[in-house]
Amino acid sequence: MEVVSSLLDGFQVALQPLNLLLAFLGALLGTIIGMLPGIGPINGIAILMPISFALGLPATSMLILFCGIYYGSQYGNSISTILLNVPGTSSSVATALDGYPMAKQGRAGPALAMSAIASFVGGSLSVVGLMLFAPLLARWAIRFGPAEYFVLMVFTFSMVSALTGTNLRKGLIASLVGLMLASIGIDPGTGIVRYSFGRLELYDGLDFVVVTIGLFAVSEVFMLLEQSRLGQVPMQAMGRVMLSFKELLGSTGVMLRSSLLGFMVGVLPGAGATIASFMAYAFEQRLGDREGSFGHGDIRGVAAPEAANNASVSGALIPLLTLGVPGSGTTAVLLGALMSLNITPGPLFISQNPSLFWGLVASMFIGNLMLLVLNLPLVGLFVRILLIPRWLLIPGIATISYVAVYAVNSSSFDLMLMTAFGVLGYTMRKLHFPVAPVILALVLGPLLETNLRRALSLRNGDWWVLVDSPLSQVLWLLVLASLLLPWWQRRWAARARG
Amino acid sequence: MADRITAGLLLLVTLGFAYQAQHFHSSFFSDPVGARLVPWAIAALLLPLLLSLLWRPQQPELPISSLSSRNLVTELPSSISPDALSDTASETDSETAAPISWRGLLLAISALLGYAWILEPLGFLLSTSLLFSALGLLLAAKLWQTALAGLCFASLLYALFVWGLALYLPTGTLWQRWW
Repeated sequence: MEVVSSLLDGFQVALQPLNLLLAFLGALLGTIIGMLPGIGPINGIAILMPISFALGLPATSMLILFCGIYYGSQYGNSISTILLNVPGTSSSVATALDGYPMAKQGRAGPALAMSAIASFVGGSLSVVGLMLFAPLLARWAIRFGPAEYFVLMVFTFSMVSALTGTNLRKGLIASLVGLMLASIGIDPGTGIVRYSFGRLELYDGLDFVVVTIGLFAVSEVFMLLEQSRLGQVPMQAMGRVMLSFKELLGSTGVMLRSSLLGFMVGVLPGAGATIASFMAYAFEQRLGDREGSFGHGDIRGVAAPEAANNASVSGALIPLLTLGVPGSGTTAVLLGALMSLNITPGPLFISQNPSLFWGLVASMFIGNLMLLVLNLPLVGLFVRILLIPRWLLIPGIATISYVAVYAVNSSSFDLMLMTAFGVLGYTMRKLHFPVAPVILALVLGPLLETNLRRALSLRNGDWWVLVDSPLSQVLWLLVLASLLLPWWQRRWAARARG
Repeated sequence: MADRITAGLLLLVTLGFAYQAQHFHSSFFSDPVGARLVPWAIAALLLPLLLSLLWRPQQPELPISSLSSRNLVTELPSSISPDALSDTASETDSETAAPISWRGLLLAISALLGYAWILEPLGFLLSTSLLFSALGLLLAAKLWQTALAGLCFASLLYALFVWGLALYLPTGTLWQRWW
């Protein structure tokens, strides 16, 4: 009953005109951002962050907007996937396996409708999960002391390094380089200035927004400049966005199972929407593919990944809000935004900020409903955006990024720095280094160091403090397991192939 | 080869990073760890990783997420490179397979760096239009198209930021004497 009354309070917050407007705006922008290939939710949130700081939006409204972009992008990403066979974000790559064949058979309409409905089911069910499990986990997480936090963050880094990118070593190197960048600025423990190279601008450390926009948006502009030389992909005709009752009924079980799977995968650090969608697709294929129709335009092959990638979003918010430890690039950006407003998520976050948490939950219910309504009849309008020529779109993204950063800090140095990070991000991607760990490290680095030093100070520098509680021992075992994950997966794949 | 060069350069950066850290010492704090422990720990973890990358660069191999199903790898649509699957957590992907065009890249970088340099003297409207047009030209747009689009877009952004959001954007120190 406590949940019901809290949720009702949450709806009171979410139904305030400003918050309602921002939920709608987030959903709308998210759909567009998710649909356009190359521009993911990280870019969208990072570019809007300085603007919403400047507007002085309250924390609740800002979180509602940013989360709207996050889950909205999981709706939009399937549109270009199905019509163009060009995934909007990596989490809809699995949707292409059956979505594009459906479009080639002239069934793009049903595929888009299925994707919208599956996204809605996955999105809404996982918000229920977030609402029920986050407060429970928060109560349990009070036991985490500085040592346990430190090991938890090490675990997050090892998972993210193991699961993003193509190579564990490169993932770890990216994380550690991110930690190097995080150590720039005044050390809060001693007041010593580290690695500022005498520049006053660096005393406060690197500006998180500048680095994020540089690494993601600016590097994306460089990538897109190259791709524009490749030919335009022909778009499939859409047809009527309708779904037969039989198709819907046949996919109900698929959607429910995939939502559950996606939610659970989303909670794990490093896993996230892409892995969730592939696992759901593979699971349904093994469970229900009797005629071998998966991969040839089976509508269940659209329902499974779309339900799963949407469900993973709320799952990913759980460790962020209850432990304050994000497990992906996008949630790291959300943590950075919250910390800029002096809000530190953690075990006490929900009980201390009930209107923030429950307002967000309620807004996610509303936002998912809005997205369903937006996506079913208006998908034809969204598709027009895919027709914007690249010579308008790419300079547009670049100028908005630069203006947003300049308008807030009025510093040309920041613009130079952003370009430098754009080059860094581009180089990393060309050399197959994952970029997300850098952002994660930049946000978590100070927390990691503070907790390590606090844990050691409490015991006068005794290193055993890091291993002597059962909780941290379990976490160290998980760290070990996550580092063996790539090796184990390769072996498993080799056995399956041979 | 690219891996080896990267590892070599990062090795130098890491050594410099660790060397610098010895100065982060304060005599009047009794912090048992101090400000240099974490930089040293980072360097200590990075060095073996970089040496291993220098010794044995990455072999081209399939990304992990594509291995979640037994037969997905062979069935991927041709427009998706395996790399599109790799960047899981960042949720932004592109085809890293496209060839690098050094000329376009250098011009784009110069345009962006130049923007930071001319923004305050030339003012927002002119420099933003110039940046937009420069990038548009790199994307093979016609000059009049991209110049017009740049001016419209810059005006739109100016209206949004200055009148809509009440933020400051430079009007140009170069023109001030005429005002």
